[in-house]
Amino acid sequence: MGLLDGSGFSLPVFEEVEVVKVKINVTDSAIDAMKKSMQDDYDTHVLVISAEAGGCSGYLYDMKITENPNDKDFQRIDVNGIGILIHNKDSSLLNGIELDYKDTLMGGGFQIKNPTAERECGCGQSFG
Amino acid sequence: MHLSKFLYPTGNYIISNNSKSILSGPGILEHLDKIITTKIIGCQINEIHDSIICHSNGRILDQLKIYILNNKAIIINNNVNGSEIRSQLVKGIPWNKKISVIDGDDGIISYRVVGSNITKILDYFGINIIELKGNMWKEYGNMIISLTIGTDYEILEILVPIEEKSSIEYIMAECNILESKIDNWDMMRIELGIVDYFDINNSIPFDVKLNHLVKLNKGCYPGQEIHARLESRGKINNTLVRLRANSNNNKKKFKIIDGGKIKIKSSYKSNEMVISLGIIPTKYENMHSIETVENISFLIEKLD
Repeated sequence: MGLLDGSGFSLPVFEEVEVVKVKINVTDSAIDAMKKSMQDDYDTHVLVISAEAGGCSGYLYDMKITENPNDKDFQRIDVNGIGILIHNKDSSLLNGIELDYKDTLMGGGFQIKNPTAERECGCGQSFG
Repeated sequence: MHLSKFLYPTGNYIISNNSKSILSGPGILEHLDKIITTKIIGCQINEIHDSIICHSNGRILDQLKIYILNNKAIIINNNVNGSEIRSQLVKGIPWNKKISVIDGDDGIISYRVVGSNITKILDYFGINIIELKGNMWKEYGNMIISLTIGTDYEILEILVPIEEKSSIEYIMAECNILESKIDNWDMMRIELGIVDYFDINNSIPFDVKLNHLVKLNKGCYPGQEIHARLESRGKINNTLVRLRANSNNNKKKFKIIDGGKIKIKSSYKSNEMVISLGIIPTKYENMHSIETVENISFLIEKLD
């Protein structure tokens, strides 16, 4: 029993989150860019879009191409054969986003527009 | 300021009214780093890291003291915000990180020991005070012991599992350290310039002398955009000072005759004097006193 081993404390804190059925919009340029990034791994790999703590406004967007985690807590959206996953815990934060790709040297790359965000920071990577 | 004015011969302790949370799992420092105003990545086990967590409008939600353990951190902040801080910590955990947040409020008691001879209790623990310098914590049995050093004071902070409350209080008594009432603690901390939650809550860090806990070169955190803008435009107009007034006026805001406002954050009364920590425009910080429209004269004491 003690502070260092953490015994004797209460159970972990869980935050109730609203889970909604996610709808997203993906532009043609984003689809092309995803195809280039994923090459021929459509069957085994997926794009995970998530929201993490941080950034000027409270949350940061994160995108990862990863092996399909086959986790029932994700919602899958298929776009031209590419699987996009969003975790249920992020569903209310990311519902309605538009995924775009800008092919410019400055400020280019994948961009997310979030109509439900109350605020966004200047760089566009953080929202709240 | 002489501590002996307030203290039992060796020292006094207070049971701190704060909240304790335990963050555990791999990657906790990376997770915390995205939320707090300071750079915690790279800190070592056994270090204590002081920081702030802000709202996205740049105002302080709370000040944190973070004890770094192996894949674990104990986070101490004001008890008013325990649930909100834990909620913030839980909400943004990435889907692929196994990080958990535990409420330690009912499991840990936090003691603060102030005094002219606090090394007596360290001797009891067999700890040399040098071992606690440089923001390091030490363990004694199931306790975690650390030292906060200010200009005129040293405070021992002791975290104890609740089951050992009677043991630590027995040790305190053996060392001639007695419990202090909260009013005495407020008097002591205001005189020593130790800021508490109520002095900083909802303020911009630069206005309450917490500039050292804002690291604008660490990347984004909630409130960073506001802090960067204030800093780069030189819009740091206010500062926290100690104020003495010959008045029992309970007002929290005063208008300065020469322009600007005084915001009283916390106070204690001693005879006919009211001694406070308050925010004033920085341009008055080096003056001896300021006069207000309300006919009250405040003596100004700059905090280090």
